[in-house]
Amino acid sequence: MRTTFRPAAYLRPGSVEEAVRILTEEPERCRLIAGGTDLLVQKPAEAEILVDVAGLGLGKIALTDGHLRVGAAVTVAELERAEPVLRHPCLTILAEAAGMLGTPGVRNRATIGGNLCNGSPAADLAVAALALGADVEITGPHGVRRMPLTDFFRDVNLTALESGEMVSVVEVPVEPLDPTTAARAAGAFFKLRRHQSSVDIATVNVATVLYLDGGVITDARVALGAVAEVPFVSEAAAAALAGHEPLDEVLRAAGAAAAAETRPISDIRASAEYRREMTAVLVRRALEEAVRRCRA
Amino acid sequence: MTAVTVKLTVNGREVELSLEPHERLVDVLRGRLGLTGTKMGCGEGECGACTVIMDGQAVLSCLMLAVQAEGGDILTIEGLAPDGSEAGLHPLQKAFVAEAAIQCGYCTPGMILTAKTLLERDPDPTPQVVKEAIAGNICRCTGYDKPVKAILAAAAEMRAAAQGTTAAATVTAAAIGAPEAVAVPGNVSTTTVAERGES
Repeated sequence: MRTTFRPAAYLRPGSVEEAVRILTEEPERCRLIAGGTDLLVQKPAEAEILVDVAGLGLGKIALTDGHLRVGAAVTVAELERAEPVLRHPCLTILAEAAGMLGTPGVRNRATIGGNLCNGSPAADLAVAALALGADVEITGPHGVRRMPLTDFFRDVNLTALESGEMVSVVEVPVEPLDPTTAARAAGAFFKLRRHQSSVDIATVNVATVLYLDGGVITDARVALGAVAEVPFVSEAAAAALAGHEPLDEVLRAAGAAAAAETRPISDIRASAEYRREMTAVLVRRALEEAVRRCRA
Repeated sequence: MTAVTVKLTVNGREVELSLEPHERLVDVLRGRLGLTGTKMGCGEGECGACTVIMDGQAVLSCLMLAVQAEGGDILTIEGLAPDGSEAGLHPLQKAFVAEAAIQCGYCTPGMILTAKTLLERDPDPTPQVVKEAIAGNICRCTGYDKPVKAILAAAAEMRAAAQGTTAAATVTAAAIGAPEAVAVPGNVSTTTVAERGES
């Protein structure tokens, strides 16, 4: 039984197909590495073959016919500064989340694929992507399959990836914004840390995307992180919002509904009770901010 | 163990190494190349002491396998003033000395290299932007005030030098350009690091 991180081999495949072939041949012994900012902290002793997926051509961000496609190897820093992300009032929550993930040095190496595939309940990009209704494209031995991100997270550090599979692209639907109509959409991302100016994993993180038309909320998504075994979308919060005017009591009720859906734990960062309370507060604040941005 | 041959550029010099997969960049820089200006702090990406610049970006050399640096262009603190003379110091290094922005010095190389990438991206940052940029460079002597002042002072110096407005600034400009040019005459890659900035 190996106890130290001593991979016997490091492979640099040239394509996604080649990476998947290697992964399929030796699924138990392989570990994927991109930025390495999580892997080299975890230092898994069972990693015998490291497969570097940073050079597979998955480092592009593209905005095409109603979709933002983000390659799994796009770094957090690239996402933080990506023009098509910053320009859109909903997509911008990806940049907000990216800007609060880790330290600048980590962000320059860490990738969106890694942030999702580690399956951390507190993953900042997961929460933002969930609020945006993202899908993941998964490449495996049987080709490419798509999955809503809501189905991807299964448990703490466990995803729906099967043997030989890897996430290749994160795809976000982008609704066209027509300034000549009354319909508006905007998002907001809020992250609570032990000290707000510090670099820390979220105590609670919240993302929301809100659609307003004629003063009424037509649709909304609220995603929560660090308050359950997986990041998730609060259906109760969305139900409390749809069809209502964005009044204080409505946003407050949505916060309470979201908090009621949490299953938090107590740990070094906060007690379960505090996390639940703060979920209500953060959801309300994120919704207020999204409404403000809709009207701006 | 399958050794991997890795070619990279370190401080303008091309090096070829035969490395084991688990070797971290920080250990290779310090142990194999003798570049001990890069410090090992926490080893988990929390402290920033091991920060180096790769392809124009500040990265944590403790969270990178050296084999991942294949083809990379790396600048360590030694490469910032390769002739070792006081006159040849980078404006950031001069500002850190002038402001006495150093206590034990362990965080200083990482802080200076992080600041260099910031100033390439944003030559005129606000104090808040500077603070956010060095948020990952922890000083356990807790001396953050002076490094922020030093970085702002260096930024002003470098802007003045870029505009060539004063005689003093012209001298500084020569100081920025000279060390790298002297150390690696004709080396394109080092110039590229300085010019490319962060994408």
